[in-house]
Amino acid sequence: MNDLISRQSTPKHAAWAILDRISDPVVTFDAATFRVCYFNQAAEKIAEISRESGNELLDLPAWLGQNFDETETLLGKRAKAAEKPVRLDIAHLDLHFEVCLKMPTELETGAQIVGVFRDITQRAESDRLKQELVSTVSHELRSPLTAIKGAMGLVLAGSAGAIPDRVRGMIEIAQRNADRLILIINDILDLDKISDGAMLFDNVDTNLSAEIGTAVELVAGYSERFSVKVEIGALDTDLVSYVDPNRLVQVLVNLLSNAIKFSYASGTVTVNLTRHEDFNRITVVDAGEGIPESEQKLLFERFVQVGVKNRAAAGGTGLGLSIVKAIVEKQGGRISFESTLGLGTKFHVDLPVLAYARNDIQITGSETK
Amino acid sequence: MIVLHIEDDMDIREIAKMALEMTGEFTVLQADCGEAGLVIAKDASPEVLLLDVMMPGMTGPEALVKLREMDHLANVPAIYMTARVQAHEIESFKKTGAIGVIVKPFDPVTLGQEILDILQE
Repeated sequence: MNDLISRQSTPKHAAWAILDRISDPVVTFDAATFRVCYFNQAAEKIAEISRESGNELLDLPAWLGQNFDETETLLGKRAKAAEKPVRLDIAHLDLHFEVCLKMPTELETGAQIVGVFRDITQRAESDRLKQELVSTVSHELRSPLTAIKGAMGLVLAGSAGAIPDRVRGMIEIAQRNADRLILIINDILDLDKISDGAMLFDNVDTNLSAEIGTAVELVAGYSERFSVKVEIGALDTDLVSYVDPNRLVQVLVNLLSNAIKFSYASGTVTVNLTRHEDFNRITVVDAGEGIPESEQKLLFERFVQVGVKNRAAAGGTGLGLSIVKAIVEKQGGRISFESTLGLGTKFHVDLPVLAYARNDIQITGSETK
Repeated sequence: MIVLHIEDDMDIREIAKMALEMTGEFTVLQADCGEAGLVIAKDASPEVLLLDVMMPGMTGPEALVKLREMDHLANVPAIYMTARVQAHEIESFKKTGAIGVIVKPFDPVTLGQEILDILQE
């Protein structure tokens, strides 16, 4: 490389010579017009043009398959969003790139945006295969579970005639564990989506008290099983956040289930909805055992179940709270807790009061994972 | 209500049939593949089509296209029963003309009501 540089007449030519040796395409664009100023040899291949044939027809919007305004908006967001790479798919060549756009840099020829293209074709293919695998495995596990759970459900419903109590007890154990397997599959699917950045949110202005009501109804059977009462306490029925109502219910059902599971029999779990600073705060309160201080820092880690000696009895996967945290944070919220050993635990879910910027959420669709 | 249920898994067919018929509200016709479903459908008047999605040979959506070509089934509501439950998959199933998707594993005790709820929606 030193020989290569020493043979060049100017530092500029040396830099270009070096760039030509790089296998990743590098392109610079005029910051005002988005026209191409320079591209290296690797970029020639993906643009299917040569530097000799001229570059006046090429501009950044054309590379990204956008119009001028879309590119301008995108670059505006990039400036705020720590220059996350943009995904570029060149369908006819079956190539996929991540493009890192460096904000305007003053060069000799004026302010230019530097685009570094990273070939992620192989990664894109393995992502596709992984998604297919997860989907297929989920399907293959769910089908036999449908039969197992269905058959047990019918027996318990009496469709095969009366059954002795001891047999009923055994079937109920089997059914609970079938449910547990289903939860594990659901959690793994969710975790996979979160890891890939592929979890989609259908955000709308959501009345939070209505969704709290839905979640409380959904855990009614579960709370009955543990002889725990679920109450709605302070409830400001006017509070609205811009969130996905189904995902919010998923979060609340998870927190309520945990609170129920770790409550003492005949205990009470309370849900409150109040305004807290710039957030709408949902608090789930239980008067259970509380979380030992030594285990609190592990609470949102994957596959961790704090204070659980018998996993089967607890019925969880240890994934729930990490999923809850990811969902809340993806929607601009935050989650926290207070716990006192012997007195119980409070989980706070804070969701932004103001409509969370739609674009800030949806832009993930055009970015790389 | 007459249901045409097409499902390749024998056990799931049996459970669905038992679950629906024990409610006293459904008569269940069944086929183990799309092709067999088309044969049954020719001479039957189902009021709802209940289709598995992933089947060897003709898939549920492919079977639905063929069923829709029969005049008497052109407007009969169709519901998929599937274990493929990722959001994009469910959306794509609905785009093929089904009015709803029942996710496997389903609860046999509430399956009938779930179908009635989808039909009412």
